[in-house]
Amino acid sequence: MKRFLLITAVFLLALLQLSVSCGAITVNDSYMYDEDNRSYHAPEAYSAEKIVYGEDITDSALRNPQDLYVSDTNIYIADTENNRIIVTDLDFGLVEVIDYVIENGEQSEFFAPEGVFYGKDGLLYICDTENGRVVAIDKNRNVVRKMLGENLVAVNESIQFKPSKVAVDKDSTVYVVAPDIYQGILQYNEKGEFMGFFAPNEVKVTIGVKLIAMWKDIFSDEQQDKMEKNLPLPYNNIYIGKNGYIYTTAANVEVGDEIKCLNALGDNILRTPQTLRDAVAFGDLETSYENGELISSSFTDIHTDEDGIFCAVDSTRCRIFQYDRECNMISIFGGRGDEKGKLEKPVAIEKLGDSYLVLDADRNCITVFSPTDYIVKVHNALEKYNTGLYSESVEEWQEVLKLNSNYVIAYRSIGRALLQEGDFKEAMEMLQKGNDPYFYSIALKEYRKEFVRYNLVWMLPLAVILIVGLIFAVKFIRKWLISAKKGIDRNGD
Amino acid sequence: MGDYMEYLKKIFKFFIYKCSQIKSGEAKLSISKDSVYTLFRLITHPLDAFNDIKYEGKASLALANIMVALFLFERLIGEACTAYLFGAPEAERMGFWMILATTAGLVLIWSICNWAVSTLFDGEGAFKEIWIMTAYSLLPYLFLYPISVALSYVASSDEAVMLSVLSVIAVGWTLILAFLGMIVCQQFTVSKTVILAVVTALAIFALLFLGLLFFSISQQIVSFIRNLSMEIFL
Repeated sequence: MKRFLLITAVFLLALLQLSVSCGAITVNDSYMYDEDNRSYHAPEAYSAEKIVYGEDITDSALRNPQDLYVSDTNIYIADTENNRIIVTDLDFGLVEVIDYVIENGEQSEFFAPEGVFYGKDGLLYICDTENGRVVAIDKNRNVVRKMLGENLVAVNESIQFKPSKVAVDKDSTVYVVAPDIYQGILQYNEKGEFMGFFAPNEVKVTIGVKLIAMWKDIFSDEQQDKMEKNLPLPYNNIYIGKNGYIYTTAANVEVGDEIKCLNALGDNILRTPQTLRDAVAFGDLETSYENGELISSSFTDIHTDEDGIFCAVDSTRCRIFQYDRECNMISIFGGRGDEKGKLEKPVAIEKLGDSYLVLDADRNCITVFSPTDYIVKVHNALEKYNTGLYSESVEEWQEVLKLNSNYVIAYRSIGRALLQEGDFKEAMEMLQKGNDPYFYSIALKEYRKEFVRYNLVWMLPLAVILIVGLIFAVKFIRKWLISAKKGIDRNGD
Repeated sequence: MGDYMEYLKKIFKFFIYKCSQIKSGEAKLSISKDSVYTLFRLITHPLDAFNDIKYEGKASLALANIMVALFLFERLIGEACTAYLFGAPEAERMGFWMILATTAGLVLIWSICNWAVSTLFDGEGAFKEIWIMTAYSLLPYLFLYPISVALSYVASSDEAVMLSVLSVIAVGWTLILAFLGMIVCQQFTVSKTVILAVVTALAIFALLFLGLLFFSISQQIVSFIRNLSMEIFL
């Protein structure tokens, strides 16, 4: 009996184990949004290849690292609370640890550097945040340029200049973002002189803002000073990609301003999709509530590659959203958690080859996300489509649809490609599936034209017959009704 | 969508059942040719037609009911069949009950409130008259709405303005007819009719609010009694 029980127990346990492991294989919480902005399970786009801790690079762990930059040869990590910049090669082999710079022949140490950028001019730009300076150093750690906050007109005197992120364009113009400065991005010329503010976030004039302004007029100046000022919100990150455009992120700003792509004039050239129905432009489209409060995405970093595909880090839900150059969502990866491939506090993203590096300030590690076959297919198809190889791109998209039959951009792109090729009816069907009313409308117009051209032979006579028939019918019914009016039969038949 | 088609089928079956009843003589459909004529006279001579309805009795309740049923039917079909460019996405379409409430329900609650308010205002309208006139006023909408649904299949988004103009005409015409109907029915001046319309709208809100209140309170009472009985007996 005992033996029987034992065997049964072992068998049951094995069964349990089996079912659990089956579950673990099929559980895949990666998702995407369909044409009606509802989420659905989607194939995994990026899988965590490895996790790099500070101990793997140097002898000590990272402490609250805040920024990451990948140049052609090196990876730079701003190890903020250790007051140092770690430089590694592309395989995370240590090259050097920069913990001081040489200024006028004297060593000068960092104090919580939060930003790092390697310029095309061969200089390393470091936001020495708590010291209130941005330094550009050469290979020998000599300070070539120094950017300070002397000429700033901040909102009040108590706010200090604490530069947190920096980016440099090909003309060596330096763009600095500081969390306390709402006037915009600070712009420095190649000599390190402050030039002015660039592209401030706007305050949208709403009825609420107007009402508050009216209300404020009643109070005295002293009271007004104490009230909350209606100021634009500062940027929290900046990135200059290989295509030369400036990408910025900001939190809690107007819808559509969370991510901007600025041209030289400071205009936002990103267009959010035309199918946008809800008041969400980037990030999670389905809203959720936590303890009665609306949780919305807030972005902390952005990376863009040479094709214009950009990835933005959402610190609220620890997810990374990837978009194409038309702001169509391509994939979502990451997520909150402790296990591999999950993040606790992502602060920076960079691209290394085809993989993405995400810096986690809470777990003090870098997660390397490598692309799956699925997303590689998507990128190939996108590239073909964007270079104008429409018929080839259709085949690629069909491959993608085999893996993910709800993929909106695939339908949309196939539809547009078919439209280019002149297959209007098929294009309409695809564009409807991809929810693209603008191109659907174009396809409809073409299809309409074609239809009339081929069917005019019988449509014209039919129309004439219908109209004449209608006129006669109306006349006949009218006569009949009037004749009835004279009759006595009130109740009809 | 599933239950939607179910309801449509049920309505259609009911329609066929009624038709067979009329054919076999079990039910009587008392629509005089006169009342049909009056209905179409609304297009050209609305005031005369409403006068005919009120004083000559040239209207039929059955025809009015059919108009309301048509209203419901057309909205049900239109909601599901409007072309992709102009229709709501499938996830955001109204369900059957919502459409019922905004068509037949709206006409009913309007008639009830209008009658109730007009009684306070010393109006001359009987409930039956108000119901018939409101239902008859739907005529332009019933004609133009199917046209706009059909046109949505051939219109591109450039022609969206034309469709919206069409729907504005349909709704506007119906409202004007309903307004004229009220004037004739109650024998009010124009300004008094405007006030009547506004108060009727307020009354609808009040009625809805009371209904909601009653509903939620009765629900609470029911759940309270259930909980109590469960505590006692179980």
